[in-house]
Amino acid sequence: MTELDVETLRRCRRGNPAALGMLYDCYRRPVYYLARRMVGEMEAEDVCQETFIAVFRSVAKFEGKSKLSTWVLAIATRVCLMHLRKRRRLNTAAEPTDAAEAEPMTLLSPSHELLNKEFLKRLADAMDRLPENQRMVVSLRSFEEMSYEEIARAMNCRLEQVRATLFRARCRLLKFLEGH
Amino acid sequence: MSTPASQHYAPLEWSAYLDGELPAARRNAMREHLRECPSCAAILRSFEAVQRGAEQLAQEPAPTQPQLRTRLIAVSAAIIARSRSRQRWLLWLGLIVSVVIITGLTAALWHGMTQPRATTAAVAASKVRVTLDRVLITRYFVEPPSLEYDVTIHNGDARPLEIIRVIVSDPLGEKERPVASALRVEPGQTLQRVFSRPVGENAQLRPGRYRILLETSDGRLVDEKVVP
Repeated sequence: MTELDVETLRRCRRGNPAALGMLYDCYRRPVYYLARRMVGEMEAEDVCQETFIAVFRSVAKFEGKSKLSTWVLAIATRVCLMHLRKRRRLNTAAEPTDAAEAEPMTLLSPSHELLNKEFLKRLADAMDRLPENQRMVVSLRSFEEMSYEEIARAMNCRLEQVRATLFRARCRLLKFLEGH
Repeated sequence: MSTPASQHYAPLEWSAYLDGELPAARRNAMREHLRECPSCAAILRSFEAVQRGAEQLAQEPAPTQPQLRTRLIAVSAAIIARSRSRQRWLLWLGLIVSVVIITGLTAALWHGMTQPRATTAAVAASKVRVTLDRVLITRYFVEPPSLEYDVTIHNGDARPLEIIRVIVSDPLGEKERPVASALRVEPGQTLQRVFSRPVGENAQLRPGRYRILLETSDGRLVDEKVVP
């Protein structure tokens, strides 16, 4: 993921529309992807907008302690979680839980290991069937720069939880892919 | 030293290995182990396929919404501009308030430091003075003896002089004496008064410094006498 340069960031803080546009273009794709994975296509655009409104409003407070991309994705994570909470309040249907069940380890047969369109489609379907927190961790981890620590900070949880959740998510994805 | 092929690493560790989230020593040992353990290698390969697939999915382009983008940026830029202008205004306000407070404090401090001298000087300059003519102990038949201060107050100023407090001090100590509610010396008037304080039956006039201080509406008037 590309990062904005210091000068553009400075202009963003001063509300320069061109710089804000660059920030938006730079991070729209990952934010949209995360939103679509987490809340689905219908609400993804809303999450995207809410995220950027929050980002633009607080960009002046960004202290540079983390990468800008991590900071933006942390805001997007919070907006996604807020949407999911709202949806849970409206919808009583139970979300698949992330119980610490011992997933039997499933391995991909060599034929699956090609990253072809079919595989990606099935992986996307499998990801949609994951519990929220597993989906969130896998989605955030898809952005190569997000370390466990950064994911933990974005999701407001412990680093060990990220490690375990990501592992469980991968096991479950493998199970879905093999069982397809 | 690598782990024997029969002792596998836990799949959880391979997941963390893939993400580069293990200490270097552990990572190196696991890399060695991979060479001789096909089952651990298969686990890692499966995790890798899932991870690469997820990364590839994340590369999908997002649908573009040019109108939304333009509106979002325009509104946000306006909000930021308004917020910055408010911040700047508050900063200026804070600066002005600080300057006023500091100036006020400095002036008050300066005034406090200089006031006694200034008012005494003002009183002196306006020809208002108090003279302690004498001090003596007077014994009466009925009342207990008292230490008396015979004082002359002269107001050579054009304004009337209000006396607010009278404080007498002598080798026995300092004492505030009550003053009649309207002790007032008119312009050009010279007033003679006696201020007294009760003393013991056998009290004698002791040698030392006897002082009278009048606090007036314009400042302080002081005079003193030394009894040898």
